[in-house]
Amino acid sequence: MRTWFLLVAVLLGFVMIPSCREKSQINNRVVVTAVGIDDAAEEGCALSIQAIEALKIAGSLTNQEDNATGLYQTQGETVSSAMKSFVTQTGRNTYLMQNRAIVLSMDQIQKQPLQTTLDYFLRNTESRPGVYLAVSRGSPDEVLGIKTSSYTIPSEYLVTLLREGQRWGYSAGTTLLDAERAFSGMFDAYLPIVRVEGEGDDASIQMDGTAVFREGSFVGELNAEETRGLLFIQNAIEKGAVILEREEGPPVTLELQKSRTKISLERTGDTAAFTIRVTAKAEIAEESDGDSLAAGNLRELSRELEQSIEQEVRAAVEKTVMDYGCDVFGFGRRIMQKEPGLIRGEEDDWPQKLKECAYHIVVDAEIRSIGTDTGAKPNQVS
Amino acid sequence: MFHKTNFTADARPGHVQPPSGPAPATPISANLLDNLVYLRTQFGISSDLMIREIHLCGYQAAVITMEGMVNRHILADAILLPITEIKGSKRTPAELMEYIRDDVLGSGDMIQVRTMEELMNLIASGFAAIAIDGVDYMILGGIQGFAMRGVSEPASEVMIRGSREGFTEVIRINLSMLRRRLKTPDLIFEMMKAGKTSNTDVCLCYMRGRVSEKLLRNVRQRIENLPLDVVLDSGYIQPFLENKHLSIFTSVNTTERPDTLCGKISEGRIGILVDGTPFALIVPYLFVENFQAMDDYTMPPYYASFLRILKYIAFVVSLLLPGLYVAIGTHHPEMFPPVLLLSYLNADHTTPFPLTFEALLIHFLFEIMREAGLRFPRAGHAVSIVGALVIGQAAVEAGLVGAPMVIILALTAISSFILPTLYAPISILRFVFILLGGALGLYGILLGATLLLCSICAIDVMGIPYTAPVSPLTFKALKDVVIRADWRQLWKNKFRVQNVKGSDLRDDGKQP
Amino acid sequence: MEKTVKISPWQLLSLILVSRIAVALTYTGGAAGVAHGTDRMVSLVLEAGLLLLLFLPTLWYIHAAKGIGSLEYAYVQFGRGGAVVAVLYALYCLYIQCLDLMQFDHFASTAMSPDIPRVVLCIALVAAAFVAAFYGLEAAARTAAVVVFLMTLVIVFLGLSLIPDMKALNFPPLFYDGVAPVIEGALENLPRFLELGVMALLVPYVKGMSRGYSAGILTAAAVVLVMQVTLVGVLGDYSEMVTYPYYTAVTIAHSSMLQRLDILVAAIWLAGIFVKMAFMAVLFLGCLRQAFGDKLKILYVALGGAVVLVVGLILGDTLLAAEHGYLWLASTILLLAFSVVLPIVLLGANAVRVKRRKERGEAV
Repeated sequence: MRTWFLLVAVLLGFVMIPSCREKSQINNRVVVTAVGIDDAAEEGCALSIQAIEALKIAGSLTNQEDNATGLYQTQGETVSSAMKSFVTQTGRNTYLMQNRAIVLSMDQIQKQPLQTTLDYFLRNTESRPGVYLAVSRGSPDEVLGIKTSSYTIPSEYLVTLLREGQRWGYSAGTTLLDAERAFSGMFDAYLPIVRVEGEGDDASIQMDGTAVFREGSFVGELNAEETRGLLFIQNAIEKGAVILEREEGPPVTLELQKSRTKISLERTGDTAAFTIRVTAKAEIAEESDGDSLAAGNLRELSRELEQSIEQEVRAAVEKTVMDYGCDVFGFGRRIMQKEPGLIRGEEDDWPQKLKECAYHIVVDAEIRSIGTDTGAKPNQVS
Repeated sequence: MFHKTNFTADARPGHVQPPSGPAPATPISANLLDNLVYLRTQFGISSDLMIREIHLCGYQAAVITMEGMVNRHILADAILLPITEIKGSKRTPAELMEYIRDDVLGSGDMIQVRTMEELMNLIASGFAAIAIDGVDYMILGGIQGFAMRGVSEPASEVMIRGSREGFTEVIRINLSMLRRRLKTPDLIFEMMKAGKTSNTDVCLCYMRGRVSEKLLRNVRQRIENLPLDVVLDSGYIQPFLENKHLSIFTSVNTTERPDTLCGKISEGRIGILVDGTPFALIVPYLFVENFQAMDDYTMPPYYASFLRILKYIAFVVSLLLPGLYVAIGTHHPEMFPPVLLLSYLNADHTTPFPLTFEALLIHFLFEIMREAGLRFPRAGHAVSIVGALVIGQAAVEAGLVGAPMVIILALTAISSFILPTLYAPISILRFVFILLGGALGLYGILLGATLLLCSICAIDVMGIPYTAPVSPLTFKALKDVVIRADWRQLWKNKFRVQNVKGSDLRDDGKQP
Repeated sequence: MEKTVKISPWQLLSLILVSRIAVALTYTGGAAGVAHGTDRMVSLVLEAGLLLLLFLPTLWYIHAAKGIGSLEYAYVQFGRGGAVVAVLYALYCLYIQCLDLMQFDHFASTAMSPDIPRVVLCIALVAAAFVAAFYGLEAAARTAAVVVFLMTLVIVFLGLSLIPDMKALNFPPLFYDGVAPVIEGALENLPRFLELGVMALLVPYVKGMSRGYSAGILTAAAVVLVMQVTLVGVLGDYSEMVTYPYYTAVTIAHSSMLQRLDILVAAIWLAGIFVKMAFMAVLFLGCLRQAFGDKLKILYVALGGAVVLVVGLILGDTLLAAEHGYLWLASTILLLAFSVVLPIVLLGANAVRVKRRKERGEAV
C-alpha cells in the first residue's frame, strides 16, 4: 500500500512540473542562427538577428528554403541590452544554442575592442565556442540577409564559405574559441573579412582579406596574398591554386596538394631567430605550353612556387609583426615554450620585442604530378 | 554493517508460512464399502468418478477410475479382462491382491497405496485402482488416456534453425523430451507436489554434479513451502522463486523449448516443469540471458554476435528513445542538427499538446492496440489497420500528433519486439522515462537510467548477482555475453552459473 | 541467514575512479591555484602520490585490526561510545554529499543552463541517491563498475575526437612559474577526494583493499591526465579563464555527423555524481543502522536527504563563494581527521586497553 501511495505521489509530482504540462520552451523563443553586430553611433550597437521562423514553417514541409529564416533588427546600448530589447520587440526571447556565426561590421571593430563586443557571447552559457566569426565590409545585415537555394539555413552558407575558404587559403576560419584563446594572451586575434557582391538574387558573399587585432583592438587588414601567407604559417591550408605568371609563355596554374609548416627558433643573444619552414606539394592543374613539363622546367616551376609561397609568408610576417606590431602566429608563445628565459618578466612587451627577432623563411616545394595530359604532341615534326 | 538477508523461502518478508506438518492421512480401510463411501463423499456428486464393482473369486472388488483420464481400451484389455478371468476360490483376499499385482496385471506403471490421499491423487492422474474387500491397500495401474495437445512448435520462441519441438501440457511427455536430449544418468528429474488442493506435479530437472547443492536446496525448500492452494501454471510458482517481489525485472526465466532448457540445465541451472503448462521455469536467470536465444548457438558466431549487439541496441532504443526525444525536444533542442530542428519545430507548432503528453498518449494508444490484437487474434488485422490509420495517418493529419513522434513510436515498438522476455518491464519503464524526460530533461533520463542500473545491480538471484558476469566481471564468461564466441572456444569455458564472480554458490567456496 | 557483503578490488577501484573522474569533470582551473595547465599535469601525479601517502595510516590500521572495520573496532574499544564514531562517520558522509550537491547545482545551473528549476533537479538527484542507499553497498559498487567503463570510454572517445583541435602551441611550458604552483595545486585538490576518509570503514567488506585503492588512485590519475591533456591541448591558457574547462573543451567536439558531444560529458558526469552520492548515502545509512538500529532506516534516509538538500541549496552559493577559504580548510581538516587521526586513535585506544588488561593480569 505504501509503495502504491509513493508511486501515485511521484506521478503527481511529475505532472505538477510545468515542463510536463506545457509546450516546449523553444516554442516561446526565437532560434537564432546568426547574429550581426554593427555600430549604431550614440545608440550603442545595432543587431541583425537571423532566426528560424518557426511559425512560418509550421505545417509546411516543402519550400522551407524560401521561408525558413527571417532577419530581425534591434538596437541597444550594449549587445546584451540589444538582445533584451529584441524581447520587447517580438515578445519572444532569443535562443542562442543554434547560433552558427557572428558577423561584425568594420565600424564596430574599430569602435570597440573585440573582447568588449564579444563579451556577451563569451559569457553566455547558450553560446557555443564553435561559432564562426567574420567582419563585414558593409552592414552585417547585408551578409546575413543573403539567401541561397543550396542551404535551408543561410548561416550554413556563410559557415561553409569560411570553413572551406580556410582550407583553400582564401580566408581565415576563426571561431569564438580561437578568439577566446587569443584573449587569454597566447597570441593576437584575426578575423576574416567578407563583403557582399551583386544584388538581389545574384548577391553572393566574397572573401576580402583578414582583419588583424592587437590585444583585441583592430590594427589593420591583410590582403588576399598576405592572408594566404598567414594561413601557410598557421598550417591551415589543405588545398589551393597558385597561378605562376611566367616571363616567357602563358601562366601555369598549380594546385597545392599538401602543405606543412614548422616553426623553429634559436636564441640569438637577447632575441630569437625564427625559422619558418614550409613544405608544399603541388600538381599542375592547367597549362598550355607542353615545354613546361620537361624535367628542367618542372624544377624551375618548383622554384617559382617556392618563391611565390615565400613571398606570401614573408608579406604576412612583415605586415603583422613589423607593421602592426601584433603576434597572430604565437611567436611569443613559442619563445615561452622553448626559451622561457628570454620572455620571463617581459611578457607584456614581447609583441614589440618580436620586431627585433629574425625570421628565416625556407620553402621546399615539389611538383609531384603533372596530371593525366602529358602535353606531348605525337604528330609534331620537328 | 552492510549485511543483508539472504532471502530464503521461509525468511522472505511478507511470505505466508505454510501450516506446520502435513495433514493426517486417512488409511485405506479393509472394508471395501467404507472405502467406496469415503471416495463418494470426497468426490461428492462429481460424475467423472467411475466405480465398477465386480466379484473376484467370490470376493467383493472394485475398479476405480476417473472418466476421461484413462484409456478405455487399455482399461478393458490390461485390467478388467485379466482380473475377471482369474479362476479359483482358495485364496485369501490378500493373496488374491498379491496374485493380481504380481502375475495378472500387465501395466508398466504399478503402484501400491495405503492412504486415501495417495489414492485420490493417483486416480486423478489417470491410474486405475483395484480394491478388494478385506485388503487394506489398493494397487493402481497407469493407463492414462486423456485428451492432450500434441507436440508442436512453440509459438512464443520461434527459431529459424533448430528443433521445432515445444513442451506440451503433460509433464511426462516434457520429461521424455528432455531425456531424449540429455541421455545421461546425471540428468535428474525430482518430482514434487505443489498446491494443497490441486496437487499439481512439479518436477525439478537438474544435472547432478553440475548444479549447486545450495541452489538445489533453496529451490526445493521454496517449492515445498509454497503456500498456494491451487497451482494451475508455472506462473503461480514463479513469484515464490524470485527474491525481490517488487522488482520489475524477473530473475526466473520461462521457456517452451526443451533444447533451451537442456542448455540451461547443462550450465548448472534448475528447470522446473509444472504439469498442465508448456512453460518451464529456469532458475537462476541472469540479466544478460534476456539477450541470448537458442538460435544464437546454431548460427555462425559472427552473425550471432551481430544479433547480440543488435539486441543490446534495441533494448536501449526501446527503453530510452521516446524519453530521449521528449527530453531533447522539450529541454535541449540545441542537440538537433539545424535541419532536423526545422522538422521538429514544424511538427511541434502544428500539434496542440505538450510533447510529454503527446508521447504518453501515443504510447498508451499503442499498448491498447497491441493488447487488443493479442487477446483477440481474429481481429488482429482489423486492429492493425485501425491502428495504422488512426495513429499513423489520421492523428498526424488532424494535427494531434507530430510525424516525428509516430516514427519514434514505430522504432520503439519494433525494437521492443526483438526482446520478448523484456517486453513487460520495457513497456512500463518507457512511460517512466517519458515522464522523466519531460520533467527533468536529459538529467532525468540519465538519473533514471543510473538508478535503474543500480536497482538491477541490487538484485541477487539466490546468491548470484543478477548482473553477473558483467558486474562483477567474469571475463571468460563474456564470450557469450556481448558476442557469441565460436563453439571451439565456448566449450572450453565449462561455464557453470554458480561460478560467476560475486556468487555465494561458487564451487570452490571463493568469495569475490 | 545473513549474507556477507563483499566487494572486489576492481569494484573498489571503480568506486574510487568514478569519484575522482566526477570531480575532475567539473575541475575548475582557477580554483586549483595552478598557473598553467601543464603544471597541473605534474600536480596530478603529485596528488596521486600524496593520496597514496595519506592511505598509509589506513593501511597500518588494516594490518593491525585484522579485517575489522573502523566502526566495529570503535564499538570494541569504546562500547556504546562507538555510536559517536558512527554518527561522526554519518555526518562526514553527509558533508561529502553536500559538497557534491553544491557542485552539481553550480555546474548544472551555470555551465549547462537548463530551463528546469535547479531545486527540482537537486531534489531529483538527492532522492535518487538516497533511494539507492537501500540497494546496498554491493549494488553501488556494481553500478560503479559499469559506469566507470562508460566514463573511461567516453573520455577516451572525446580525447580522440578532439585530437584535430589540439595544438602543441596550446601547451604552456612546464614549471614556468617554478615548482610552487605545482605543489599548491596538488594540495588544493587533495581534499576533493574525501572518500579516502571512509576507507577504514570499508575494511571488512573489501577484499584486497590496498590493491584496489592504489590501483584506483593510479588509474584515476591516468584518466584525469588524459582529460587534462585534452583540455589544455584544445583550450590552451583559456582553460584557466573558464569555470569548467573540460566541459568548454568538449563543447567543440564533433565526430563525423555526431554533433554536440558535450552531452556525453553531461551524461557521464551525472552518472558519476549519482554513484558518488549513492555510495555515500549507503555508508550514511549503514553507520546510522549500526548506531541506532534498523527500524527507522526510512527516517534516517529522509533526514539525511533533507539535510543535504537544505545545506546544498540554501548554503550552497555562500559556501561555494568561500570555497577557497573555509571550505578547503574544513575539507582538509576533515580528510586528515578521518584518514589519519581516526585510525591512529582507534589503534591507540586498543593499545591502551591491552596494556591495562595486561597490568590487571587479564587475558587479552
